[in-house]
Amino acid sequence: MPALVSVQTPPPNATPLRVLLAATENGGGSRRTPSPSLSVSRTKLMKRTPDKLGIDESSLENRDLGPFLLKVARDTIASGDNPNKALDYAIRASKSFERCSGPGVELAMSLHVVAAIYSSLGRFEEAVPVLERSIEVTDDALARFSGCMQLGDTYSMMGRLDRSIHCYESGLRIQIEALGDSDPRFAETCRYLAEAHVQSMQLDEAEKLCKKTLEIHKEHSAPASLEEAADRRLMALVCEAKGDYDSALEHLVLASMSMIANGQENEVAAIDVSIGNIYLSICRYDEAIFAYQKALTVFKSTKGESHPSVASVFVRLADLYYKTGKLRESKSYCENALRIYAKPVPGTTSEEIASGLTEVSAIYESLEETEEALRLLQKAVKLLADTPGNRSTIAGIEAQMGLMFYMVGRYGARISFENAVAKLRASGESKSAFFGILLNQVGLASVQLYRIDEAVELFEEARKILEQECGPCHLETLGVYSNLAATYDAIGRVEDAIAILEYILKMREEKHGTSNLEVDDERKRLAELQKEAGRMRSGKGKSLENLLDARGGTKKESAKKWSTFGFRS
Amino acid sequence: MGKKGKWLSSLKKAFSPETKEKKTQLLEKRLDFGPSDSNAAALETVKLSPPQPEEVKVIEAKAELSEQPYPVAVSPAAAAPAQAVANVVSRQLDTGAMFAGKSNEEVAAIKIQTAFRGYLAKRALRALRGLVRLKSMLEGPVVKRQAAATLRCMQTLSRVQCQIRMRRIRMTEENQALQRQLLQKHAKDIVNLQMGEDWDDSLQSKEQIEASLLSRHEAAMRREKAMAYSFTHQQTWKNASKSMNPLFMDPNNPSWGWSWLERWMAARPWDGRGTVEKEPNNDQSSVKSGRSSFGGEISKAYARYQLNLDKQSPKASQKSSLQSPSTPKPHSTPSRKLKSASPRSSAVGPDDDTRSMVSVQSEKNRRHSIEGSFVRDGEGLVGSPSFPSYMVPTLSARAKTRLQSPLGLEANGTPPEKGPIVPTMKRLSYPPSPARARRLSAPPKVDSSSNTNTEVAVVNGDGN
Repeated sequence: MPALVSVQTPPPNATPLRVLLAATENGGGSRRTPSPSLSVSRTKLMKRTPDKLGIDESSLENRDLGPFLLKVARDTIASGDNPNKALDYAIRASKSFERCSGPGVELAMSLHVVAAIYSSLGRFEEAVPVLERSIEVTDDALARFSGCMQLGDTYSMMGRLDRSIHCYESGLRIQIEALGDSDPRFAETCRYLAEAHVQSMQLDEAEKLCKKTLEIHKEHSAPASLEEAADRRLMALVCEAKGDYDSALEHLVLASMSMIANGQENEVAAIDVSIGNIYLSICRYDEAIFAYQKALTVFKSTKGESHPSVASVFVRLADLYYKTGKLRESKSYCENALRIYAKPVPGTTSEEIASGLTEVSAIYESLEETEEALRLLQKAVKLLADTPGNRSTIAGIEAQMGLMFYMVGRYGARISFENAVAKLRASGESKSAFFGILLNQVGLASVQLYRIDEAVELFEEARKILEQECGPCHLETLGVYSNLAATYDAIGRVEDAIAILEYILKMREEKHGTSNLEVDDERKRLAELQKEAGRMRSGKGKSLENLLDARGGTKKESAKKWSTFGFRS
Repeated sequence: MGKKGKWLSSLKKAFSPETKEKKTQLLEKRLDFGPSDSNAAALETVKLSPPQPEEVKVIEAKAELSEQPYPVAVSPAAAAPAQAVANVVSRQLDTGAMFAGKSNEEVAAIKIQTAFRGYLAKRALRALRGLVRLKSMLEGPVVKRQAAATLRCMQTLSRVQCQIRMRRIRMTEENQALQRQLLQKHAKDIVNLQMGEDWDDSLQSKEQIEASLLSRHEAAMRREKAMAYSFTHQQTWKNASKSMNPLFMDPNNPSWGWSWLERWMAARPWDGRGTVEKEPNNDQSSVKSGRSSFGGEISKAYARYQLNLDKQSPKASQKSSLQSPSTPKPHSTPSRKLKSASPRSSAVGPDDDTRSMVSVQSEKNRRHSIEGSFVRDGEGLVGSPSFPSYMVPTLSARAKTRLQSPLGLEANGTPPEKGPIVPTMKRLSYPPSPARARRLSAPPKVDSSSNTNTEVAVVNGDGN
């Protein structure tokens, strides 16, 4: 579903919008063809409306007025001339409904229209309270559901993914209450919400919802239905992002079979690309090449040689050749892709190009042409309009830039990181594991710049997020612990550092055995720290009592710190 | 961080050549804090030394690390401060003689001072070592690996998000075709509406007007039929609800929120679909009022019924004496469906919006109907074809209906019949319900409803 509204993906604002406008104009054109009578009547309509609308407030009591005003509002929108007027009509309509029928479905619906017009004017902040009200004024499940979902869409246009997901969830709940939880319509909403979760990288939730959707669709539609295929593709995406390549592959193959059965050639090709990605991830290069080539042939024949989807297959092939060590081929595929992106065929969205450039830059980065990679990323950022909905995409690209700067030792360019972090925070995405990982990296960059205080703060925040999202035993979390311990050590909080290191070592030995390189490194650090702390301690007092006391104290203290040092700065 | 800042500054102060008094004060202040002072006790025997040498050393250490903005010297040369400390201690030990001739207080102060300095130096040393360790960790493979992993993470993130975006854009594209058709249809409605308004003023004869209207209708029907056809063929995975969902995320699309209604209602082709409640204030339908709702069986029956009508409609129209000269019979077939969208909405004041609300209500009813009470009246049937233009789902639903109805028909072996039979069929398909009685009690209504295909014509006929 065009559920697009992810924060990341705000509606394909740029181009698609244009396309849509064009479409509208077309429509308008055809509307105009029966010209004379039409234009006449239209002017008539126009003439008429002012009269009616001129009526003062009291006439709002007229029962017919609400429907009529709504109608006028819709017509005004359809004609596209004056959205503000449409807004005015719609607001009056809602007032009229409020007076005549009080709270109820009519009022809710008219509020929806008002909100939709606000949204189309880009005044999202004003749309929000209207929608909230529309949810309050009615008990009708459908109206409330649609209000919630529209509110969710509006939030996601504003770049507030977290809130939009929250709204979708309420919508989903309303739907469950009304329809039970095995209705296909419920499945639709589920999948929509799952997509939103994927967008904000909350993969576990997405997986749960997607599973549910899949079950419902299995139950209600024929085997190998297109709905199921769509679910499976989303599922595959989730699995891939989680690194579960086997299940991803399984879902994709099943989806592909449904698509073949339904004769969806282009979809089959798109799935082939995804299959190729998975094969590439599990190093089955021959299968990957086969899948990519198959998709490439289809795309070339159905969409033309220079369609962006062709370019995206080029990028995948470039990645593959890089991984198999054929650098020259890899580079030439990159160049081919860039050529297509440089002269996009009409109808290509700038988001598409930007994401294509980002992918190419990833390959240049692995080819160790960091400068070129950075240049491409900068271009990609420029292509994306700075709308709230685009912000988290931009943040992702900026984070990549920051990382590349970091890796070539240009620590001063930490500004990219800061921008990225600020944007992600603003979009309410500060709860995903990805954000935690990014914070850790920003912390490392701060250390490189000797901003140890900032680094500690960043590491601590990263730790908190990762503990929540991945659990305290996850490798990433342990990595952050290790960084944090080293930083504590550097600012003299030796006890804290020791406690953390001891924990890390315990976890690592439990999970990954004792021969790990990182374990060795950390053990050395711990030994050193303990030696130092021990020396300190041994100097404290000579009596046994003192010694015992001191040790007990230390132990207690460190235990306490371990549990609470999250609150210390 | 306050902690670190404090000790750093105190370190600096301690090393700076200030008057003894000041230092003593500072020292006393410091002594309030920290258990760490107990360490200092170990140094009690240490003697005073002039501060200068230490300072020099520290400065040297700092100089070595000049490029680093961080105030504490960090370097592999952490050994330097270590030496400094060692020097201090040894020198102090050497210079025991300096106490000669000083008051006890002074000696005490000096001792404390020295101890404190020793403590600070040790702490600095430890911090330096920590920094060195931190630094070496940063250079190490572990952190490099972390950075690489993070980069991969971010790339995955971008890719996943991009795929979702593409997913949605693809659907957008699919929906755009629909949107366009929708707009055209809407435009058509407007035209029709205006036709209606023009009606009285026109100088044309009724026949002429009727003819032109009919031909318009025919054209519209043809278009609509083509559209419906294409929908049935488009019935892909995005089909029902999705395709119905015209770009809801597009801010320019006024029917943003509607799409959610449509999603809800569209996903199930058989129920809720055919249901449209008439607006109460609808001129013609004021009579009809009732809330309509029916379950799958009924709408299937309706589909069959519609099909029948289609087949026999030419005759029906003849019967109703509308028969305008210009009506090409073959077209009357589509006209049945067509009428739904255009003539009705044109003739009738209320508009899409109101209707959509209505549909909400009917949705409510539908839910009731699921519970088992099929309450409906004939008008519901009639009303059903007149969907708001934006309710695309209807279209495809109807398309589906049409698609399937032949099958149903064949299965039933119901031969296409003439007009009079239609009501019977309808009745047969109704579940027993109070509504039925109601329906029966109002036969004329049924009649007109079954004639909906040429409402205009009916009106016209009345006029005649």
